[in-house]
Amino acid sequence: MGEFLILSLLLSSFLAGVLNSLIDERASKTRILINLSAGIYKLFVVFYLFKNKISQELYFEITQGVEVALKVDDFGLSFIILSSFLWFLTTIYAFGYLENSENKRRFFTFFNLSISSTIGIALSNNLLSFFLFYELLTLSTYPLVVHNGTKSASKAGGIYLIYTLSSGALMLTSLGLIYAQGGSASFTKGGDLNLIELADKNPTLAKALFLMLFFSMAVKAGMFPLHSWLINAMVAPAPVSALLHAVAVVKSGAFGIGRLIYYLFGKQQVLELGLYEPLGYLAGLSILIGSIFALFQKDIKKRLAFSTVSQMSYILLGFLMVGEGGINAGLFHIFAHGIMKITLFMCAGSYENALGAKKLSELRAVGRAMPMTSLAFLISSLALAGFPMSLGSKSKEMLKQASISVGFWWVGPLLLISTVLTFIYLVLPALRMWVGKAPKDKRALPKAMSLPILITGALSFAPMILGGVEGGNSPLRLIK
Amino acid sequence: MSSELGLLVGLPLLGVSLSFLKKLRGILLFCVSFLTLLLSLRAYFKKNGFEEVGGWQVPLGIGLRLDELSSSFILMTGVVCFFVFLYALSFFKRAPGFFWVFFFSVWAGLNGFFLSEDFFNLYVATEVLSLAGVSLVASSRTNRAIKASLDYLFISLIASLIYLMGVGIIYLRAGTLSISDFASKESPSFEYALGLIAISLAIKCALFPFHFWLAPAHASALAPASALLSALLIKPPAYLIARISLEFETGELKLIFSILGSIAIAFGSIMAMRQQTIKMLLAYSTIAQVGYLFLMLPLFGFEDFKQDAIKAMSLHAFTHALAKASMFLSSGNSIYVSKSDELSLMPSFASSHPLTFFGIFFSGASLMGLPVSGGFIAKFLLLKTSIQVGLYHIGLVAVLGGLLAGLYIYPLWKECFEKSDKKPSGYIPIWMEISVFSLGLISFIGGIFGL
Repeated sequence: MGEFLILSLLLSSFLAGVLNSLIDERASKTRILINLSAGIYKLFVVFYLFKNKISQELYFEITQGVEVALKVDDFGLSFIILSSFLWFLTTIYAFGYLENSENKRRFFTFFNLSISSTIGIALSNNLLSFFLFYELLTLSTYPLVVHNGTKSASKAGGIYLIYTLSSGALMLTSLGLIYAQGGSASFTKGGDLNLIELADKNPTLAKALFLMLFFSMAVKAGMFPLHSWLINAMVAPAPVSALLHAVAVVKSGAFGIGRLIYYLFGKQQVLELGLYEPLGYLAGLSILIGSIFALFQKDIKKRLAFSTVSQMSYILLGFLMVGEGGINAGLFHIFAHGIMKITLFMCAGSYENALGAKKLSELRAVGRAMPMTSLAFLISSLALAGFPMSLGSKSKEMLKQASISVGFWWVGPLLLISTVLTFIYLVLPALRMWVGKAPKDKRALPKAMSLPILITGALSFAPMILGGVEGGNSPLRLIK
Repeated sequence: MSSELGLLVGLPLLGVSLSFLKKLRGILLFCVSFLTLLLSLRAYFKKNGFEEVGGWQVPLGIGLRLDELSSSFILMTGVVCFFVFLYALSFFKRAPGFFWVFFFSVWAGLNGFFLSEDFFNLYVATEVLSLAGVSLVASSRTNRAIKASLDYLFISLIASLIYLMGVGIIYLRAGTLSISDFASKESPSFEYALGLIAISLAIKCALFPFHFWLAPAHASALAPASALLSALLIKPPAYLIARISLEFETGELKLIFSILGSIAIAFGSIMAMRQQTIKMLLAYSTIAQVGYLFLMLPLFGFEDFKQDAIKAMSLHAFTHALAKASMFLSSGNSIYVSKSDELSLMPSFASSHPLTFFGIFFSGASLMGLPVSGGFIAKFLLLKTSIQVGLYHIGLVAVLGGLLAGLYIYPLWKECFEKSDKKPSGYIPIWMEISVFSLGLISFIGGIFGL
């Protein structure tokens, strides 16, 4: 049963991807049926796994002594819950968004394959499996980045490949080093025994390994100064930016860093190696620089992308403040940022689809024409900036608390500055949408596009208003 | 059946004679190809065996030997040849008989080569392969192709002479030509002999700095011929060098080859990035990928890591053969539509021809050595063992080579997606697409099954 469930998680969207590649371009109804049933099935499995703990592990030996290991644990499950749920909503959104465009068949094929790789990343129980799915994610997201087939899309795709393949090469090198020492780098709570031993015997090598793995994952997490691919990738269609560049891809990087610190090296060793401090400063810098660059972007999606650079580093900073508080803060912000940012990206896609507006300056008074979308945009912006009672404010609170234990005194002031900057670059434009005369030539949008936005928009405040996030039925109970 | 291994050579030879038929040729040749593929599969799963052709005993008769390394090379030959066959059936609407003659000679020659275990049979097989290869290049009948095939012919002849010199010394001193017999004897002049043989093989393999003949020859042939040349015909010399490295102590030579291999990877990749035509790009990629087969040679000298090295070699050869065949066949699809080899005129396959696109996508990923292709496992094994034995440059080059491959594969992927009014579109016969797709897919997912 357990094995079947693990495989269902992985294969439901994989098979959906294969089926999508087989059906005709014009068979819209079949396409909707395939994607929705795969989505519902996956949500059902995820719900079952959330209610019933299973501790089964799956192994496949690729070659002698090298195996792929899959397992569902709390840390992974929380990421699976987030990505399956948001994947389902984005799929619905994508049906509306791509209604009149070409190559839907290819789009949904790779969309499903990339989410399948993301689930694989969450299920991985050793570094080799993680690496495998990490590369598969690169491979399956590349066609989505270049989906439009324009010159700028090709260029963005090239930059994306250079960044992600280099990060893959770095991770492969560290894998080789670990396996050459006889280790297998399995994810164990408290750290992999081989690596702990290695860190005792040869701290220099351990430090080098830690840094290599950290930076190979930081590329996908879009951390400054490795963020340039993310900004360029904004040429992709909105659903891609929404799911992949706010949730699946960037969060996989952050998730990997969580695994690296808490499951590969272990808290104790990371504290002893002492690298968390300089890397913490870098994450702090990334928060600041992302917010500042966001101020100067005229394109909505690029502004949101820089905001992602900044917000992703909240997560990394959380993980780097080694301790219970740190991992919880990081994991919580994975959820919080996912929900808030996906709303914003989907709104940006709706504006583009309805009005052809890509620049913020073209969004004046758009609130009159598209009230629901603009309301969701406003709410999520407020939440992202950390308005009281929002998911964003809870993350900031958790981060501040975690900073005490490692003595990062600067985290409080930094978060304050970031809050102010977020207000300026996001909340002010969101407010400006309600002033002025409504634009006239607006295309009516399909319902499939507004429903997901309203759900995720509401979610950026609802959990806190409805009574906190720690309850037994909240998926966040996994974050202890 | 007692003569299975013999049939692996015999059936393609039957194909050669059937090629002269006028009627029923297609169907009969298909049966021959399919049966040979089945035999190759059977040989792959059997993994070992020894057979004396016609019951004549070695050393007078011909011995055929199958082991782990050769069985994977046999399978590689079988799969690539079978799909190239399917492709060529549609590619040449009225297939000229001579193509099939050369095609089946190549198949027979390759199987013969991988099964042989004495230096003389290996020589015969090499000659068959060289002549068939030269004719395949020339068969596209352009001036460029004729010139390239002449270069190819001369260089093969020179290499063969050097090889014969080596074999002559061995026969004089050891009185045997069987590799395993010979390995048990020792004499200082063997080093020279082996050195001569190795140099001749390096020339035939187009290892840097002997690479100059390869790119024009492979790029000017017709697509199915290029696929055979680039995917398969460069493998036998590398295979023999690996065999020699397994049996003999050739310390310094291995290291020199390994360094030349590294240079080949860098040089081939950089040249591939600068090409404007699809086939030249792919041909330079072959020069780079040949480098890997030489790069890993020093690892064959370590008793503890021999198994890993053999695994890495067969995985890399298999993955590269299928991926490169798929790529060259897809270049044929591109030329079929656009009537031009220009990279910028490549049709946007990702929108118009999904099967060809997936073929290019998968085989590109395999050439880069991304998971889950066998190329990835090969790269990983190389990295791991090279760190363990302290020859760090092998692992480093393997990893960086993957990145370089990404840089020259990218233009192909890019053209698949890019839309432009200049780009032609049109119908491609379905079997030409299926061959491209199947080869790409098998090369990519082969890693899961340990191929």
